Amino acid sequence: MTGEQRPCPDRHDALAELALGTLAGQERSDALTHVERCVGCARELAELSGVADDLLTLAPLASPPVGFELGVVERARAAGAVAAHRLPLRHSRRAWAFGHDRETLHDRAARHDRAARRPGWRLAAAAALAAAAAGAGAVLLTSRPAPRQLSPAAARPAMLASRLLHAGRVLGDVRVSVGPTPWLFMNVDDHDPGWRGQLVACEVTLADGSTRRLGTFRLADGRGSWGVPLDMPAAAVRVASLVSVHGTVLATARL
Amino acid sequence: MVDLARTPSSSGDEASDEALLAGMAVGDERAGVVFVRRYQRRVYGLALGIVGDPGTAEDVAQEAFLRAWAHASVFDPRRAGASTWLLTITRNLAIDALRLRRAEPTDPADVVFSAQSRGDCPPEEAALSGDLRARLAGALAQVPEGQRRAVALAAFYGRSAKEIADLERIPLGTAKSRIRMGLAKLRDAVRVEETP
Repeated sequence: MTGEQRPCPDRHDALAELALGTLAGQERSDALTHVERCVGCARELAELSGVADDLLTLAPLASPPVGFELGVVERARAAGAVAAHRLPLRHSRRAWAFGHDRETLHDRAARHDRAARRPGWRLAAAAALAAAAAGAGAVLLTSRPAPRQLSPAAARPAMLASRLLHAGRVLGDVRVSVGPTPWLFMNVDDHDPGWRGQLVACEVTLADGSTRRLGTFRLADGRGSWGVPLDMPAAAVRVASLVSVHGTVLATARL
Repeated sequence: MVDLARTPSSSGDEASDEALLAGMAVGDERAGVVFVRRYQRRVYGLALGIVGDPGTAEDVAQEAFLRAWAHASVFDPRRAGASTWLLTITRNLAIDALRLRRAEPTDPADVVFSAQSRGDCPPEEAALSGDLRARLAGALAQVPEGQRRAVALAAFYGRSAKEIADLERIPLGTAKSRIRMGLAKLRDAVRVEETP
């Protein structure tokens, strides 16, 4: 029904879930591909997304604890957002920041989907890795830390982040801390079913064109997350790649 | 789309959200304070409604404001109102926190119905945006229970159709249908009422 104004009848389920940010995997990919060439479905998605956003305003108002706003300001100061007029996250043309800045319809749906499917422990895990960065070697994260480890942004280093792409499909993301103790963190949460249980490697391509393998980890239960302190300047890392142990590049993130 | 961008703050500061975000982008602490004061009840309320724990909700709400502050320079009002943007950040962080705790969602009705039942919408907000909010809440009340729960579980808790099917002990196809029909009814209700 491309070019017409009405949504395709067989897409209604997917459009609603896409609008709510809960469609995943191949269904999401198929729906997004369709929406980009179908005016009727694109309009339907826009309308449903608007309703989904508006629903959030129905949550009850509640007063936060005393000192809440001071806490925000102090954390903003510590992050440099106030004193140094500097943003905690660096933006570049190709970098994907975790916050939700300029985004296409595709980005919006992908972001919602990431949020819906991304286990929150990865945020805390990245922070835990930052804390460990000055010490030991690679950290394989297999368990979920306690809820209170939701890290304060003030303690979070400046960070580059980019999507991990395979043939145009977002499979996860890569984050690189650019602080004094740089580290790299790779999330894979939408991999090819054929990779299940596969041992994979993380490699980086540096500014001088050289490639280095940082370590290996296993994709278990459809997902894998892995991080390692860097013994090189974060700025030297241009590409982070998910590679099979045989050297086949499975996905890349340009930083 | 509910647009709270021009909602006056309770402190009397009349600066628009866009102006405040522009100030925050260049490190204006006062702009940040006004912005936080303007939305802290809504952001904390949404976080609390989703995670159900005051301490975690405070973490989430503070983090949401910090994210907004960090990205104030790239906020694009043409894409969404500041409140929509901020609440979406809050919702995503709250879902992360909820999954971090491996907590099951509370009754979705707790989130979506307690607001209007308590009548806690500030008068100035009700005047500017509460009309749509009230209409949406009214429409939601008319949606069948199963559809309402399915939409709320997806919208507030980020639950997929499969997860909703498991939680509600219904077939996947039924979960998908409930999500689709519930959201479509809300859209139709708002759209019809917006038509002159």
